[in-house]
Amino acid sequence: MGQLAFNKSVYVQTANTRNLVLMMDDLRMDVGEGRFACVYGGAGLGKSQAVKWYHANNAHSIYIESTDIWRTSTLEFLKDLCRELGIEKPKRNRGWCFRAIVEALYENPETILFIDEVDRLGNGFLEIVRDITRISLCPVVLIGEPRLISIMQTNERVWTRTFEPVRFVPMKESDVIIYAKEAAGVDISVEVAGILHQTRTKKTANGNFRLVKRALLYAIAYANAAGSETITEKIAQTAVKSAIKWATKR
Amino acid sequence: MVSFAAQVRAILRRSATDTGITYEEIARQLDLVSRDKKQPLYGTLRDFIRRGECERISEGLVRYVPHNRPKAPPKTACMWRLIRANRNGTITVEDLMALCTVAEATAREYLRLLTKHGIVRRIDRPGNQLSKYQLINDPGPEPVRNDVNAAKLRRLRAARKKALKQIQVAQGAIDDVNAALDKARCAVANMGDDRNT
Repeated sequence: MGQLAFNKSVYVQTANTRNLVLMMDDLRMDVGEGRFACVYGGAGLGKSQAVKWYHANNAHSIYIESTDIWRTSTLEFLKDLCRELGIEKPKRNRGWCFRAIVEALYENPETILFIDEVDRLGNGFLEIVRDITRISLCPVVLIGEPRLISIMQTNERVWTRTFEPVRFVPMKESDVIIYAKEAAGVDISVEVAGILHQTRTKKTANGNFRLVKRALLYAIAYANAAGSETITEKIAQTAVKSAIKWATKR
Repeated sequence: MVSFAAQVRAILRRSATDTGITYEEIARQLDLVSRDKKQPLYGTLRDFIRRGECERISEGLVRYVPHNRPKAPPKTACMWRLIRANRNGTITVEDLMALCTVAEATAREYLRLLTKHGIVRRIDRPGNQLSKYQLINDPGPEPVRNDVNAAKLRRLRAARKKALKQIQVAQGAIDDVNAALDKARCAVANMGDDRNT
């Protein structure tokens, strides 16, 4: 009897990823105009993973993840961006770093900047990024949780430059069926998909990608332990309970 | 089988980008004569215009706009970009396989090379769990390449090319010998006929 196995070496493109690719295609068509794009959604929906996948597979893009230090020092952000652009030994001077960044972007005008976890940074940070996109004409894609939208909306000069925001939504039950098929090669019924989809806790919604993935991992382990070749409804229920146990405790 | 859209795209690509090409000319090249047969062409061109693949210059005249989606970087660059994007966390062989679509051996070899150069640190985990790798020494955005392996592959490729050339020469010689043999056999056969007669 063959055991079920979860294949982590497969990237399953959900509707969210497809929406991101469409947005990026549209954004690239307008190269030559400084502007923002925005990818937002709750935690665990696969935003960063999708953006990293896009960045890795497409040349002319820069990806940086914000750090807490940027909140108090824009110089640190500028220095990090300098390093990403291949500028060696950036000086401890905001003006120098800014000019070096703009010059590097002038040389590579098709560059797209991805900045992750922007929602924890303030409006001052957005002003610097706005200057970079305005002067270099390179688009900037900001990624963050839903409060990013309100942060951007408070700054009209940023919001009016924003292209079309892409919202990452939780997985649908049909996505769970496709995910189980592609990642684990297992056919699950609509009922089982419905159970695995029930990942609602105090802080997460149904269809949270991270929790659905965890539930599927547990379901496969339990099915193997029980000697079952399929994931039954009972196994799925136990797996979901195990998957969201840690989240409900918080 | 080539799709209808691909056929239209090929004609557009071949056409001059400055003066453009007429709908009639595309239809003629596709052997679409009647109005009914031309309908799918109109639909395809409408889709192309909407997607920005071509633009309408005037009534019935379109121009091809090369699609500006950038080429995917080579696999080494793809893996390096992903490792750097995950510098605040860790990465596994499976992540590289999933997000860069590379074989397990390729991902392992690349991570082994980076570990050897002191760029990433391997974190072993208990049981059968895969090791994690952490970027500890970032040399910059330029991909770290496996120069030794690249040189080895270059040598192998050159040796293969040389061997193929030698095979070609040998094949030519064998063909010559076969032709000479055929000629000799023919001559012998003719001699035999002469003796019989």
